[in-house]
Amino acid sequence: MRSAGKDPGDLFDPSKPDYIKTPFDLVPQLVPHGPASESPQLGPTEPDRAGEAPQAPDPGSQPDTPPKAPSPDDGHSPPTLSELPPEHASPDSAANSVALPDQSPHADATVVETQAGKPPLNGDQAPAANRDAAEATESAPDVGYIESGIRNALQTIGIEPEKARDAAAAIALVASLHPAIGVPLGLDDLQVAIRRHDIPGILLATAGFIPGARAARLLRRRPKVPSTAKLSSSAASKARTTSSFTPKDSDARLRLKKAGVGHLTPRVDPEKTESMIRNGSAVRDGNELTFRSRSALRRAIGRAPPGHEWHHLAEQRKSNNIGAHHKHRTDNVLAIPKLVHRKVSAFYSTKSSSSAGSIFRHELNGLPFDEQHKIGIGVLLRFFKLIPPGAP
Amino acid sequence: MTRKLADLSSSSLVDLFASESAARARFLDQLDPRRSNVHFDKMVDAYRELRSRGSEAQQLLLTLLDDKNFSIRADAACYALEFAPERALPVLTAMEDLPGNVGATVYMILYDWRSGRFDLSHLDKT
Repeated sequence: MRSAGKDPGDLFDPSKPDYIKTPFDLVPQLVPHGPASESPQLGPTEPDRAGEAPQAPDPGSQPDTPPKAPSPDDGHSPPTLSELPPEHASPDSAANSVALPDQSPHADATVVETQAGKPPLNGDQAPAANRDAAEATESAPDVGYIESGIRNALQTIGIEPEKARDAAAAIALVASLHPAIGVPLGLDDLQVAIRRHDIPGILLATAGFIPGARAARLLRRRPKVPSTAKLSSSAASKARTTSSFTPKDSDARLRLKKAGVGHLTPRVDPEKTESMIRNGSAVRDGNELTFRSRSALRRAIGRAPPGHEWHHLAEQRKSNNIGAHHKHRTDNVLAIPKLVHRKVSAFYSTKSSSSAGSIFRHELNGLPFDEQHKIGIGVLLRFFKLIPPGAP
Repeated sequence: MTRKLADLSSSSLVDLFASESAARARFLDQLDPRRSNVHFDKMVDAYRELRSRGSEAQQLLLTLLDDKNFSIRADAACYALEFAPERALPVLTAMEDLPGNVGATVYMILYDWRSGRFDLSHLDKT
């Protein structure tokens, strides 16, 4: 640059024509603008071709893109807004908004207004944001697009271009195997992060593809939890009870209700639920929701009401091999008074005469879910001291 | 321990069984399952010794089926299922709906009995 008679400082001066912008300004150029039909550029982005940044393929015409991989909740596709009960979908929200899977700590809004509403962003960013909303539910994994996003993110944090390119290619190769290797959630994270130009999100989602780096993904997924000090108990209580999704009564709940047992069923935030269904953390199973993990369940149902604790009818311990889809179902979890919970837990930790002297919870762990569930209700009923006729 | 139990009379073993059963229930009520399990093991040792002395000694356990302490009654009835089920079952059935630990324990004993999973194999271990 000096040999051309220019001052290198011009690269960082916005008033100069040679201004290269910040790395964060460069990354959005990966986002498609206008009708694009070219396949994404797979090679490294050359500085003098910044204006010809890779264009993502038109969602409507992607002959070269890999076939859309089955989502983890195939067969349990989330209902559209029009299929939801009236309390889920108000006329306004159904017409004007699309819920996005909000996993980024940097994304403030989980709902992006579309055609009928005002776009939340100005200028060129608005159509891109609207496209994001549509693609969040429809786009197939685009390996080239992902590779470009990762490469640019790595370069942004100072990785050498060659190394960044190699690493991006390797990660993209892993992504191309989706979902056979069990990383669908990481891939979704990555795509969303790239669309949002969320550099930390891209890096963390990328780390999630590395075996053993699950912690990074979990870190990224950890929701913002408002400090309890900031929330008065009444506000927290209101936040819990304003949810409109309450699972209908299952057999277990009906039995407990008939017994007059003072339990509370979990109430799930519908927005969180839809988001979690979309990102694969939850699956709707009839009137119930099944969560992928304990932490996902806790995210959805929040804390138990004051004086109560969440109790799993069928034990949630790892040694219980009934599977997360059984353990973390909304009909397997009840909020019960703390004292009752402690008594039940102590009982399950004692030895049983009738099962070879083994501890109760160990005895139960070998049983199928249905039996564990039935026994869980039977034991709980006795601790509530209210025994209905014909209790299990 | 075994030698000490062997020195006891059968009626003393029954008394020991009853006291360990009561202690087990007491610690469970105090939410201390660890200490409860210690007394469970002592209770099992007492019955194991009683069992090793034959049917006549075992029959002494039936005297506990009328004990005023429901926990002792339940534990005695559980082991009596192996040699006098016709005496033990009515006692257990009558206590099945009791609240708290006793009711839950009896519920589990009967659940195992009815489902064919009733297993006292721990008595055969020394």
